[in-house]
Amino acid sequence: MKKSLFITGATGYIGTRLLKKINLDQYENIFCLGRKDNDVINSLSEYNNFKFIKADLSDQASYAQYLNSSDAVLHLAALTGKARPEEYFRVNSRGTEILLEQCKRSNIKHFIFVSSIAADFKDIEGYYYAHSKIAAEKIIEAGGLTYTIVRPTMVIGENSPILESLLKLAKAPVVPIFGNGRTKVQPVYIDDIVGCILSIIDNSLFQNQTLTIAGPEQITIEGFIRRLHEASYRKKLRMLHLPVRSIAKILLFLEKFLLKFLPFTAGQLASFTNDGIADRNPCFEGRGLKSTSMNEMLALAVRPEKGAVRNESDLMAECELFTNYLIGRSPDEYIQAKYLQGHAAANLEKDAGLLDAILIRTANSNSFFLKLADVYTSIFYRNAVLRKKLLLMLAILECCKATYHEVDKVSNSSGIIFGIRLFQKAFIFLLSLFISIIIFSPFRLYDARTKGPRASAELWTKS
Amino acid sequence: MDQILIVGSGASAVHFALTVLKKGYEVTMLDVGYERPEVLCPEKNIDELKECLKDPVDYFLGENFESFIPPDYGAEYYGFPPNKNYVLHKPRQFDFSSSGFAPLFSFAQGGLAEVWTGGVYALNDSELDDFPFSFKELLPYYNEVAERIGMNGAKDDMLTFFPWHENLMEPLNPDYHSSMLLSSYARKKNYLNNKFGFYMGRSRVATLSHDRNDRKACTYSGRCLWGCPNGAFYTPSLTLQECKKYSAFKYVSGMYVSYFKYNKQNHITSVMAESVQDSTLHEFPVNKLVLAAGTASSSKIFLESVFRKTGEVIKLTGLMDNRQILVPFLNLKMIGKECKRDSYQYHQVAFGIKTADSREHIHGQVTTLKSALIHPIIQSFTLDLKTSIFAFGNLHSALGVINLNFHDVRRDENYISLNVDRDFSRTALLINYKPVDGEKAVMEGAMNVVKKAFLKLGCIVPVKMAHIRPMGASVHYAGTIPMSEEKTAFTASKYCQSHDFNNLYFVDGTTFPFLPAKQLTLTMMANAVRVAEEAL
Ligand SMILES: Cc1cc2nc3c(=O)[nH]c(=O)nc-3n(C[C@H](O)[C@H](O)[C@H](O)COP(=O)(O)OP(=O)(O)OC[C@H]3O[C@@H](n4cnc5c(N)ncnc54)[C@H](O)[C@@H]3O)c2cc1C
Ligand code: SF4
Repeated sequence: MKKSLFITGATGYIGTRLLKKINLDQYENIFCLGRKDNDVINSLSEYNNFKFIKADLSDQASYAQYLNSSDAVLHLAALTGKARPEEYFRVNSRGTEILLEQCKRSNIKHFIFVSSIAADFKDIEGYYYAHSKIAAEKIIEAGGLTYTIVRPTMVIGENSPILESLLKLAKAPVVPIFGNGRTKVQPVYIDDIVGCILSIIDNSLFQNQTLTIAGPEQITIEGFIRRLHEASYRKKLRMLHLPVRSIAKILLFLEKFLLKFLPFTAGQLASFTNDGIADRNPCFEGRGLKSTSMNEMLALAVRPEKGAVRNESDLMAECELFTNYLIGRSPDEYIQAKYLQGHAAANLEKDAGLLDAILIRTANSNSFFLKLADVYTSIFYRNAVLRKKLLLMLAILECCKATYHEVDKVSNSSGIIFGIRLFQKAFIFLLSLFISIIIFSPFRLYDARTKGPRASAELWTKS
Repeated sequence: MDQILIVGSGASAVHFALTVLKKGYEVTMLDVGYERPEVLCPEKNIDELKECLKDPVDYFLGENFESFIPPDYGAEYYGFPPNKNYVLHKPRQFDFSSSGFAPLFSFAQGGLAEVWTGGVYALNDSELDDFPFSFKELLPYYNEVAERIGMNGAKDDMLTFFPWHENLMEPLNPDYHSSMLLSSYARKKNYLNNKFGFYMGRSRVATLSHDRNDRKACTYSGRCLWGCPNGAFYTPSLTLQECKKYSAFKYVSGMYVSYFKYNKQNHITSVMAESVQDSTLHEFPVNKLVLAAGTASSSKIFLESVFRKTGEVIKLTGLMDNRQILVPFLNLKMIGKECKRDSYQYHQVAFGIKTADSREHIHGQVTTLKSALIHPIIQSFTLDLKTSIFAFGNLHSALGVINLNFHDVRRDENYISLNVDRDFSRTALLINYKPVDGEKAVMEGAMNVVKKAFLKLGCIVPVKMAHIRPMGASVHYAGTIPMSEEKTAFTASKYCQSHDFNNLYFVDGTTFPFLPAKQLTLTMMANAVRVAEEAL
């Protein structure tokens, strides 16, 4: 039988992502509680079995009726970031208590609470968020309902709050590292958390248990910041170690008066003093759920600064070369930007094999080799990634005011001169074909024979 | 006076509505009704447009580059313009599966004809043979529709196939390539007529060659493919605007009609529609119900209604569509000429090939390619892209595409039905189609004639590059509840009144008993006006 699910905090980071992934058809009803709606909520609102309730946790009357017809509750609502201690307790602890009371009245069969790895930290002086989460966990454990408490480690995903603040840190001219930087983190990708949570709800797993959800790899916090820096910025990384305890003390004192003006709070430094890792990771054990590697997670979540990653500057150079080759002039910024965008949208390199890699690399050397590769692919490999790239370039050029004339014009030359040009072009074509066969055919044969892993596609990124 | 409830705002719906409004009826029109995006830089021609737009690549290739055609895409010669995507957008309530058929559906204001190519051809007596009325009986309505939409045509050799009616403006100025073809034809016509039964002339198109009322004549802006910016090119939303001027007209958009309810006497009492925004269910009382949601959608509503009432899944047989073939060609006399993009972009030349049975003649239209995106064509050369650009530049003005159309008849193996979920909660439209045996030979025969006739006109037709479009692609669907003198189940009267439900009418292609090779929309509109005038 299909379940009805009640979600609090549906518009938060995890909630939004979860709603994007969820398959509404698998549920009888989905009720979402939140204080304001967003695009995802609006787009789901056209479904019959989806209902958004605009209310605060404390306002039981407005959501009780929906809880009455729910089977499971996913409690995501929480106050994070910078706030006063009493606020953390009002929302995270007292809010949970109110919700739980109502859930008991409504006979909820499974109460799933998303807590935080911080609830497992040893050193949490001044970290009120962690305190409030611990309090909430206790309330749930003692509450008498069937529960599952999940504690995600550091949640990484496009624009995830923790990623945003770490990136800000990594961007600083000198990156401050609080403490010795050797505490460990075990970041987990947002979609994997979502997958775990949904699987717990759907299969009623881990009843009356508390479990940590972590990614597959552990790394020191300093190492992780280094990885972030590499993934997103071009500049050389400079780091400065700062004494974490004294800074925490100063912050704690200042928070009383100047909370609004502080870049972060003492509590938020806790990641630099506590290991945020999981010895066991039961949600992923033997259950076939995806656990995204750190490499993949960074590739998915971190947008490189313009020109930061070799690949992007390569593409700019490629665009310059291609435009010059095709129409004999340089691209403007608009054309370059569109080439990057189109290249990503059409996901051109996804099926590239060894021969593709070689063709692209060779073609990127200069217009002579580009011509050879262009001629070769026109006869022997018409679906080549290189050909697609050139066509994308052409498609863009034909749309732009500065260049459309160049891709569509008659040669206004007299008969004889035109004849000579034609002959010249035919001659060059045949000669290029001859040379290109000598150069590329061996790779083609090799490619056809191996058909092995396509890892060799990395070849084309110039070093 | 009587209330009439119409489903749909496509070509057939709006002309039916306008006629009954003029007669004084109260009309409610239910429609999903997706709207056309704002027209950008309306004053500019195709080249100036590239300069006027802030993000031309976004406009021509689409936000996600969906109109960029890579080499492994398939063989259509141009990608669908991104700004017309709304016409093919489907609400989540609608689902379908099909076999042997690649259907298109529209839920837009104005329907599919918001993206049509405007070919408008009256049917002659032999083509109307299976219909319960003659050309003469339909003529006044052809005249009326021609007046409403504004169309043009010439009295030339195509009279062999296209009967004349009133209110035709003189043809648009032909582009240079089209006039070259016509003058070659004029010189060779005796040979072509006698040897191949091949005739050529101006096409009939729903475009204004003169200013008329508040619509401006064609300015030859060359933007047709991306939507005419000034209303010179007819689309049904123009007539919808006209209907909206009547106070007795109520247009309710955002409504997906699922089914109608009926009583023991098979009298329809109401229509059930779901809001596209919030999926709420709405009931509309019915006095007379007119289905004009396009043949496939009208059939679906009919099927679903019977299913809801009786639990029975029926089949509506006899679905028809025109087979189409696209063939590129090269006019040798045009090589090296400058290509003028600022001209009318759809077909200006039509041709016909006679067949033994005159109902089955083959109908062709010629488009000379000018402002369509060129990267899909350039890549078809067996040359490197740089040389291809050079070659294309010199060949562009000489290129064209022939669009061949074949007739279709009602056959039992081709049908529309429903797929029902295991728990009976959801239904999906089901379409099954199998081409007639021997179709291949007919197509090859036609291509052979085309190849030879065009060669005579100075054009090379590389038959190998012909693209046989899948059934469903021409989007001329018809025939699932045909007009019939006999009062059998799932048929309609001469006045398109259902034989199954006495207060139900169909005014789209649903009731066509035969589908000639010529595009059907003009006849559909005329028929809708006929029903409105004569049955109500
Ligand atoms: C690219 C292209 C080119 C074409 N060129 C030509 C041509 O040159 N000449 C020619 O004669 N024909 C041409 N056609 C075909 C022509 O467009 C169609 O024959 C014509 O549009 C059919 O009109 P219709 O009234 O049957 O309904 P449609 O155009 O199918 O419109 C259906 C209407 O009903 C509404 N609707 C559908 N289902 C529901 C529902 N369940 N609830 C509420 N509303 C609903 C839709 O919103 C829409 O308003 C072309 C079509 C295409 C796609
Ligand atoms: S019909 Fe075509 S050419 Fe004429 S004005 Fe409209 S878009 Fe321009």
